[in-house]
Amino acid sequence: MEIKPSDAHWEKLAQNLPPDNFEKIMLDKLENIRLDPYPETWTNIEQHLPLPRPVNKKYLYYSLLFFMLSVGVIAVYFMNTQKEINKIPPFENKENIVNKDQVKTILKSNENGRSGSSTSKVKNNEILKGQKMLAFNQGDHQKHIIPTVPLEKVLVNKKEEKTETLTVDDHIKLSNAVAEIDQAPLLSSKTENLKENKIENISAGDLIPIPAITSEKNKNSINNSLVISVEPLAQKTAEKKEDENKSMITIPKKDSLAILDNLPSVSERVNVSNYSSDKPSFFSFTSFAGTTLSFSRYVAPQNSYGSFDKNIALRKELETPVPDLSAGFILNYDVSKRFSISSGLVLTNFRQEFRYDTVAPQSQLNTVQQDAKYIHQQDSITNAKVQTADIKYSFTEIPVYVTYKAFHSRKFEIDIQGGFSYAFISGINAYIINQNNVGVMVLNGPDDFPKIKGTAFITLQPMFAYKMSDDVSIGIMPTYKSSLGSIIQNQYWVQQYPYFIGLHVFLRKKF
Amino acid sequence: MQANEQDIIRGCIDGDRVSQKKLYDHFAAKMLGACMRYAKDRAEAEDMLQEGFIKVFQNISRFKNEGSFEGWVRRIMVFTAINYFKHRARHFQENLDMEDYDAPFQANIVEKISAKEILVFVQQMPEGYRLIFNLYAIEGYTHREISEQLGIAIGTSKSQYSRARQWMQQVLAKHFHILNEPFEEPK
Repeated sequence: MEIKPSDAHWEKLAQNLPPDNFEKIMLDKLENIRLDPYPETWTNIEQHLPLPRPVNKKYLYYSLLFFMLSVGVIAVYFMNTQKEINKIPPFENKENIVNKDQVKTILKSNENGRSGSSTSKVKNNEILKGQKMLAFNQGDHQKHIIPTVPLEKVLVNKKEEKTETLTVDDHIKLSNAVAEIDQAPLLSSKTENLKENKIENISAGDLIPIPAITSEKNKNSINNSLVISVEPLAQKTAEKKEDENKSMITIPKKDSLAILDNLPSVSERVNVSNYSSDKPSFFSFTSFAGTTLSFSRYVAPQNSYGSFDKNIALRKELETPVPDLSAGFILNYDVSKRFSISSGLVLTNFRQEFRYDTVAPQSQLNTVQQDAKYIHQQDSITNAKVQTADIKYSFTEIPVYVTYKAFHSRKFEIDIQGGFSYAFISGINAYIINQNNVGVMVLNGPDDFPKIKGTAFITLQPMFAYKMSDDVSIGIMPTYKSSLGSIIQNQYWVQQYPYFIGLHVFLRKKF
Repeated sequence: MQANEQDIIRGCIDGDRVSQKKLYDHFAAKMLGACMRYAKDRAEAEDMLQEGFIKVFQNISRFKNEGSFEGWVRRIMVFTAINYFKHRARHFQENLDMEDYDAPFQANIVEKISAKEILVFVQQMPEGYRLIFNLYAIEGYTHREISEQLGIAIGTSKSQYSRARQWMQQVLAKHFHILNEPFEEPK
């Protein structure tokens, strides 16, 4: 029964309430009380929660299959485009004058302006006319080792179910209050391990045991306190949450309370055996493979003899980017929630197709370098793309990247990775049109004229990943990489600045 | 909201047991302290906590990132406590016998009493007093909001709080005075 007091009653009450900070003190005392719950409370809660959905591993297997197929296709393409080696040693410049008796005139009648005759020096292994030529000695070329993903570590997902108890340092231990509060009669029949006590009616005037005062000066004081007024405590009866009819008060449903009334249905029980590790992961390992297209930016030397402008123009016309393999692995360390630093090893191939043809020399043979190796030394190089050769530089990079985690959701991640690397030359098989476009220099090593050196690169690559699990992601990574310096060591020669665009697939594992 | 808390909430929405346990471990102690103020004993507080967390996990997908997540969890605990009061068919009593003990509130006295002792007194408070005392003095609801939540008149809320406050003041004063009176051996 509800008795509504009159406004006058409240006014009288309000007058008796002196202004004070009662509420503030109560708030300060009671707001932040912390108490560790019984261990079985979580167990009881867990029983009412639906079991977690099992991890669908088929996406993991399909993704791994896709990754392996991609690597396999790239590897097969790379191997199939390796040409057979016809060991045609380059003409090493020992003398400028060619003995006429050793020259065999080859007549040309091509409509594309090839007129006259070529006076190339012919040796036992004939110059192959109209076929692709490779003065490429594969034995001298270093093989690239592409690191493989340790599949056994990826497929066998060793996840252990762990229960972890977090220690909260800022919890105020009220062990005494807990012990004291435990002395109060226990009413619940739900918690199995709790003791059941009888509840006696307590009327005003009775003594209720109050826990011992812990302050030093009050240790010897009496423990009981006079009860001012106590509402009779009804005996506890078995409660049934479904029995709404026992409520004596009809409470109108409010929107703020209705949110609690609609409970989602419990999903079907499914056996789940594994949980992901919940320890924080700072390290991750990324392996990637893909293809790159290689380009070069040429800059004429500032101090040189003669002009290189026509040489640069012809090279741009005759050199065409060809896709080649690029792969590597990166170890990442999370320095914060958003940033991580990375390093590792990257193998990048610079590859171009060099298509050309030769005609009778258009200029004097006065630009031959003493320490260079040549083919077609006596011929002018033209843009009639009849003959083909491969230009290849292999770089081994040691990168230092910074990764920014731009977007992370439950299933998808977008990271922006960029940084610098230093690239060492690990293999060379190159052709460079000589100055004045007469003859082609052959490079098989870094010391061959005009000498090749390593350089620094700058790289930018966004990473689009799909999270197959908490620890494993796969994704694609478009890459732009540009050299910061020339790979040509000779400052009197055309400087070459390679740059790449590529697309890679990667697999990332956190640990 | 911190990024780590967001990850845990997402995990709870997906039904990840580890995330749910993390969430429980993070908030359980504080929420049990809150439930202890509404319950009359430890066992009832544990029951409130249990029921409250079940509702938290079942409705966590409805959390809209408006306001703090801790505040949202606390509101669920408060509503759970209110439901406990309603289901026990408690009503507010106006005519409780109270001694005419004129004990004005003395802040210096209350500050010397520990939080756990005050908690014990709160638990011994009559149920209607305790509920409105917590909603007004601790949770910060206005009497209008309390009246709307409980379906009572504003005046009832005010009078119940007034009585709860007087009850607390008298108990605290008596407690302190009893403690400070010289002990007399019974004859």
